[in-house]
Amino acid sequence: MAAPESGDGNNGAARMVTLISSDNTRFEVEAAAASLSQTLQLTILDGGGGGGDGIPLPNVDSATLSKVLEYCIKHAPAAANGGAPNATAVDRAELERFDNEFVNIDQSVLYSLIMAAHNLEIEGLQSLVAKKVADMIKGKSPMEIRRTLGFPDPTPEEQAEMNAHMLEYGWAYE
Amino acid sequence: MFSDDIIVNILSWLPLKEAARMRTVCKRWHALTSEHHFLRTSFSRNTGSCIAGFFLSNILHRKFRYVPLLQSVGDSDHVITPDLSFIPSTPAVDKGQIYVSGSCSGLLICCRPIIPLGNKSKWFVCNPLTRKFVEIEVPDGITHYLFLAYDPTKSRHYKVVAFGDYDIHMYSSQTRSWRVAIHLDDRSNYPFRGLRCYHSVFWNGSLVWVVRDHLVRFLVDDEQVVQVPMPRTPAGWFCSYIGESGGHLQMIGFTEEERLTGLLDVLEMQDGSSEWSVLYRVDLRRVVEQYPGIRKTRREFPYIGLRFSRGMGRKIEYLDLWPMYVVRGTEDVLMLFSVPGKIMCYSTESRNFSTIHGREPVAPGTDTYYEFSWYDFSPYNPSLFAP
Repeated sequence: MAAPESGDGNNGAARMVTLISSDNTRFEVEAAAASLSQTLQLTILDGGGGGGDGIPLPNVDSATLSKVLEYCIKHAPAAANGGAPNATAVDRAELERFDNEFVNIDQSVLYSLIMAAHNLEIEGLQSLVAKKVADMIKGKSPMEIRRTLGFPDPTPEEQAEMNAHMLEYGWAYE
Repeated sequence: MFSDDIIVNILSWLPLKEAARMRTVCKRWHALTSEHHFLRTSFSRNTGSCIAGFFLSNILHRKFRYVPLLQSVGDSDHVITPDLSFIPSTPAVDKGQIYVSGSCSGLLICCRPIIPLGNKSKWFVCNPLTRKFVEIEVPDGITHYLFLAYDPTKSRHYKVVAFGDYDIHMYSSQTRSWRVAIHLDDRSNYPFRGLRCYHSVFWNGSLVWVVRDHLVRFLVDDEQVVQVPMPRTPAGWFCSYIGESGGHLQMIGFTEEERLTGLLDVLEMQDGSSEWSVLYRVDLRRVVEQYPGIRKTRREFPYIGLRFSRGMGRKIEYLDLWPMYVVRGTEDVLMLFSVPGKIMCYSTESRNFSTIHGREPVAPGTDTYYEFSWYDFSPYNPSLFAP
């Protein structure tokens, strides 16, 4: 097993790893940022992903991966501080502003992003995107939600079942 | 398109009522949002460090009320005023009355009394948000008070506990039946002798009661009774509050002299410890200044033999102020307390107090206003758990 290099690097250069998207694009990124992914963390701790090897990510395309890494790079310093208990209010406000803008994107990108975040187990990103999708469906009727998420229209049987459930959960619509 | 994990993650960020509406979207969502894992995640994401409100309920004094505490936590539909009218009533015998005697994670244990009191009440476990309820049939030989124990992080099932004749009986929502959990053989060492009131606090998988000079803790899973010591205290000290917040057990107690100062220590015991430590000293001197009427005097008659002594008795000055609930937030500790006609809230962070519930006008001819105490208090946070 290769000895893991120190993240801080003795010569001042941070350790880099290479990630390879499903369409074979190579992304070089600081190990600390990539380690926000629980899935990648172990491989990186074992010294993987360095040099010419790279870590293949067959489920994530390059457009989505670059978006994921944008998030990781922004959040890595705060995560390194252990959830940043000593972060200033300004830092936190800046991250919040970044997050809000970050998810202000096309629906299809958002959906790819949530799948990538779950795939790579990046907790903060999972929550961020899930919250955004939750906001999108909030206040919508069941039919509107189905359309928002691209479900096929219900069959007559499904429609009957939906109507029965609407009666059962009437209290939730008050 | 999405995996089950992703759907659960998305839907559990919704406010509870909206989350419940998702059951009508399709069969798969109905199944996913009915699972215990979803209900737990949804509950924890919808529950802050504070409480949504509380029930005040006293069966002997026929008092019942719900008081919302948080006016808004983000979404307006978080403000839910529970209505218990969905629980079946037989007006001829229960006069439509209902009382909440305890709460855990959004479930309430409540009863419809049979008037006159002393008859067996009808008991229910219910979820006021989903309006689902289960009647708990109380077998013979069990006292008229039931206690609820529910920790959804440990199990999807709850327990109901009751005292029998030197027994502890336990009902499980899994089997929907009662059994004897403990038989307390040693009658001379009966741990509940001197029980102060029929109100328990659910703390880390156990029910806790106040008896004369210590606390009794019933570990629900281990089915074991243990004693918890009181703090070392001066003569004349009495425990006037226990409660759970933030996973810890809090206690407030004082002598009458200490209460008169308006400085009250909130003590705390962390799980696994048997030591009390001071969590916060609450400074209520400004309340005393602003409401001088809460300084009162009563006469205490020494008890001699079988008769109270005649004569004047001893004059005791005291503060008519009662701790009701401690909220241990991440940044702030709140203490709710009652003074005559009011329930107030003190924030240790802002060092300010405010009235959260005022006296309703007392109708002419009715007797004095009943002051609620901590044992009439049931904190409430809505959830979607099934009773």
